[in-house]
Amino acid sequence: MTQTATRTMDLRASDITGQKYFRAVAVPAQVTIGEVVQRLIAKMGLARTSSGGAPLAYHARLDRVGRHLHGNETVGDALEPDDELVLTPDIDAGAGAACAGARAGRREG
Amino acid sequence: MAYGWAIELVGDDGRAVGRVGIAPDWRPAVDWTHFDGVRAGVLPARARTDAGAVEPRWDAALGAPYVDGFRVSVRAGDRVATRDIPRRYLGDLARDAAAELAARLGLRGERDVRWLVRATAEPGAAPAPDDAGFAVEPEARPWPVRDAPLAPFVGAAMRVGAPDGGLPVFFPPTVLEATHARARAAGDVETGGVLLGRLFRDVEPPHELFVEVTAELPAEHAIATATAITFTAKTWSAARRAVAARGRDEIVVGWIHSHVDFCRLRNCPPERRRTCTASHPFFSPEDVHLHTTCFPIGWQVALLVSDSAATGGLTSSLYGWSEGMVAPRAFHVLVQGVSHA
Repeated sequence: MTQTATRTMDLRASDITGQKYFRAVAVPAQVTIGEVVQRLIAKMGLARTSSGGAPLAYHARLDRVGRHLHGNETVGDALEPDDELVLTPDIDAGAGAACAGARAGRREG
Repeated sequence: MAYGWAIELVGDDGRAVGRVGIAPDWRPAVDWTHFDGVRAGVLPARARTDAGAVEPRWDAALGAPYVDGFRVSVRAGDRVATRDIPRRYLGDLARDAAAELAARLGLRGERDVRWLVRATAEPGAAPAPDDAGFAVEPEARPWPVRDAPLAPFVGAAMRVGAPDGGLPVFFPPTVLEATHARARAAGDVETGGVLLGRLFRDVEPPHELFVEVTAELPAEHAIATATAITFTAKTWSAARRAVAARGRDEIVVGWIHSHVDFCRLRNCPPERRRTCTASHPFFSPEDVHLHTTCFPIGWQVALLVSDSAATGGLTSSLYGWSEGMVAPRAFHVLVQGVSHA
């Protein structure tokens, strides 16, 4: 029986300010970006939930191509060896429940 | 040595009435210890790679297993920094656990009980198996710190807030004015942005670390309401692109957001405004969570612009890291130009 070696590559990851860096070693090419992101979140110690307990959504940005990657893309299709992913969350700040009775306007920047 | 942690409720008679296990997030305490170790010159100025160790500091009166603080250690090569973190580091977690336990036990409320922290050694506790198929390792990249004299900054600045022992942070008035103008223009919705600047180490002993804020960038692609602002993935990406485009060798040193005049929005009566916490600058649990998640390094700060008649309109407050917790911080406003290399 012929065995095919699994293609792998090393990748780098950083947080949004670029001050926490990690290296993912020998990531199999068939692993999805979503799986890599979940693994990185755990090892980088990033919060998985908001302060209220709702899941936080993280996106992986690849500056080399100037876009956020989709979670179902595979490492082999989307990345090159030594690419750096920047993990960026959708995350809330603000007075929140401290003054929840305030009248709500909304603005999108 | 690994430890299991628990909150124990104790009644007025000093007897334990219940206990519940907790799982503290020690990362901020470990990050703080690492930062303070770098600040003191004990550790090299580069990203933390050591997971750190947390040991209980036994209560002087009660003895083990009761805890009155925590001793955190972080290694970098053959160097070690150790810091004591106060028991109130677990304050929010402990209060939530105590309240939940008290409710389950049918107790009338926290007036009847007080909470204690317990630690139990768990020798031989093994980390969870690594099952992801690939390893992830931290990289010890150097911090972007440069040498510069601190004295010219101090001589050119006015301090806002009481001295707190934290690393000095210097703002040009233009940054504060720009954040106020944006908050004013936005009316009854929150605003946000990121702070750019540089990290320095004083050329003179004791070689203090300090931050010079150089600019603020509005949060593009953010979604804002009267009581919240969402920094989206596009917000952070736009900020990174803008920093690169500026080409001024700046780094992101923190973030900004504003709170509206809630008392006016809710039409609260004057007597309520006098005592309401929302009538003065405050950092909400959401604000603490964002800072912890996105700005965990000890020199990263948060500027809050608050609008309130109680404080005479728009005011600026700074928050940052202290003993592993987000706390109000003093800051400096540069009233003159600073000439430095």
